[in-house]
Amino acid sequence: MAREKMKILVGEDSSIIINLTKSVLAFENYSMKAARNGKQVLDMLAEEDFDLILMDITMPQMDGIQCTKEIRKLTDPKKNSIPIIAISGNAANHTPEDFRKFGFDDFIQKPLNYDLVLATVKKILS
Amino acid sequence: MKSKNILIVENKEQERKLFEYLIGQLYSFSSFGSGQDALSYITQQSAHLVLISLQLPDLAPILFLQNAKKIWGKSCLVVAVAANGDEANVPYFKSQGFDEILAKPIRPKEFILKIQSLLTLQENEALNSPTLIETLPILNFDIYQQLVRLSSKKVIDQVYIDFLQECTFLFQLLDSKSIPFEEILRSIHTIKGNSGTLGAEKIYAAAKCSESLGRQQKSIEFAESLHYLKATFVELEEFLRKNPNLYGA
Repeated sequence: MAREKMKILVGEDSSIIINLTKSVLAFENYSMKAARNGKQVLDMLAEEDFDLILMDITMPQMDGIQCTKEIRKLTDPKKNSIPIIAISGNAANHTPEDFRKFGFDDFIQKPLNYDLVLATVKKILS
Repeated sequence: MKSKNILIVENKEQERKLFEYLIGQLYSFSSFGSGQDALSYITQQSAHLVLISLQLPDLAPILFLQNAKKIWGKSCLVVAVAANGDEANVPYFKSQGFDEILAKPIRPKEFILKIQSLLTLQENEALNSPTLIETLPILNFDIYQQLVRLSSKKVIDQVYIDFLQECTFLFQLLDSKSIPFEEILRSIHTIKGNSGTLGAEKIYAAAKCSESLGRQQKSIEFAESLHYLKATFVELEEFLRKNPNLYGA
């Protein structure tokens, strides 16, 4: 029997990256939905369960760090423990320890290398 | 193949395999167990960064360093890997001109980050020189091929079309001069992230330069950099128009 598709939520304000990520994840049989800012991520997570979040750090309205802190404060244990991978174009500004303190499980540096994105997603979801 | 080439020189096979595995996730690499073989290699090939063990039985690391710097100058970083317990010698090796000394045991995530950050710093230095940006390819074909392999040509070609359209829109926005400065920087940041991911290397480097000048509020240089950024975009547009088989009909 085929496994149920894992559901990934991507918080990202660039439609180019959203479309690219969607097509690469679909090719690996993941299902993906996108939110354009941190507030939308919180709204979508309230409505639906996901297996993983890929979270861009730089987003309008609410950035990825603030959004992750809010998620970790949620009372529902299924929601507040969801794995979150940070995506950062300025990763040099933070150490791995910083990302862990913010509540992320892992992080990937931009420009995105999709072999690395897939490897990280698979590692977290395995 | 990936956009940067790393040379690995490590005689201990298990450790060499680990470096190859970690480096291979992001960069292309050439790998040698013998220091003498690596020394021959550098006379024929180039690399962006060399990772070399300080305990090679057949070659003094300083000799390798001197040769590498003589042949490649600053365009190649030479990073030494010191054995566990060899911390006392680190200041000496650093004073000899190694760009960085990493101590064993290697922690994979920190190791990869260090290599990435060294290469980013090197790239940033290159950004101070427009002539160096000019040497970058307008499109890194290896990245295009990687994306096609992970998705489909039809989808990826459409992403490039969308990228051109989005850039056109963002440049119109920048021309309008009515948007707040933070919004301008956000647009450049978007162009930077998208172009880098799509392998549009010249645009990526120009956008990175513009973003940096903007953040430093160097207004004259920033305005000039925007003209250059636009010129790199026009160059990509032209390149894709002339290469319809790459880009889609």
